[in-house]
Amino acid sequence: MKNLKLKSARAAMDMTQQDLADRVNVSRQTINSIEKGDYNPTIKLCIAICRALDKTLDELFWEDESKASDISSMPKSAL
Amino acid sequence: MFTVMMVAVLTLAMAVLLIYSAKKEKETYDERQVRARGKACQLAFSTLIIYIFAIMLLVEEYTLLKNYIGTLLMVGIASSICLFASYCIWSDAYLALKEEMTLATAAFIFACMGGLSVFLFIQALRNGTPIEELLLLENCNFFILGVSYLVMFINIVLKTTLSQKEAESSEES
Repeated sequence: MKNLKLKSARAAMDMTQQDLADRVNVSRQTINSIEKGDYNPTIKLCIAICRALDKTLDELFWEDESKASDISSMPKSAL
Repeated sequence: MFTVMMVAVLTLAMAVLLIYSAKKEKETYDERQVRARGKACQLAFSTLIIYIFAIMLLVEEYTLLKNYIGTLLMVGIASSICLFASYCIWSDAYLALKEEMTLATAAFIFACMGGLSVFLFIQALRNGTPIEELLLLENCNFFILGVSYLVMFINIVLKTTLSQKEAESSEES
């Protein structure tokens, strides 16, 4: 699942993927993978991203209740 | 000739080491890259084990292959290294964070190593090494190395080209 919150927060701060990657000391591809939902970052990296974007973990990485329940009701093959 | 080549390669390696050690910033891999490298290592190692097992079975069956065991093992080792490098390249885990390798540098390194290996193979053939029964000989090790470097070279060129396009599109969207 795409992380659009992260992408919009980054765009709001007028940062490129490379800028954010440099701030949190990861590669640009890692930021791209997180935004595309291909990679689940560790809590350490999540916190670093939140600090760089001046957001909380909830704001960037927490799914809404309704969306979360939608996901849990989905068949495994659809995920 | 071989000694001169070896000295040249060692000198080049020493120069690269000195340049890298002169850099103050320590190059590191991020968590995704470390994970990808771990998977690549696992894949390459298990492939090598399976390959060696298959070779042992073949040697038991066809005793003629015993003469070429060294070369066959070399094929396995080179393939595993290729597999490891290719997996890392395609997972964007080949280069460290602060390591900036341009396409020209990559092309130069891999082309040099591949070219040198193939050249040494041709030299060995010129020196009168016969190809018996069209099977691999010990001198083919250079050829195998050359092919490995060529495969890595193609991978890195393709990946770099695709990455540039992907970077542009991901920033635009």
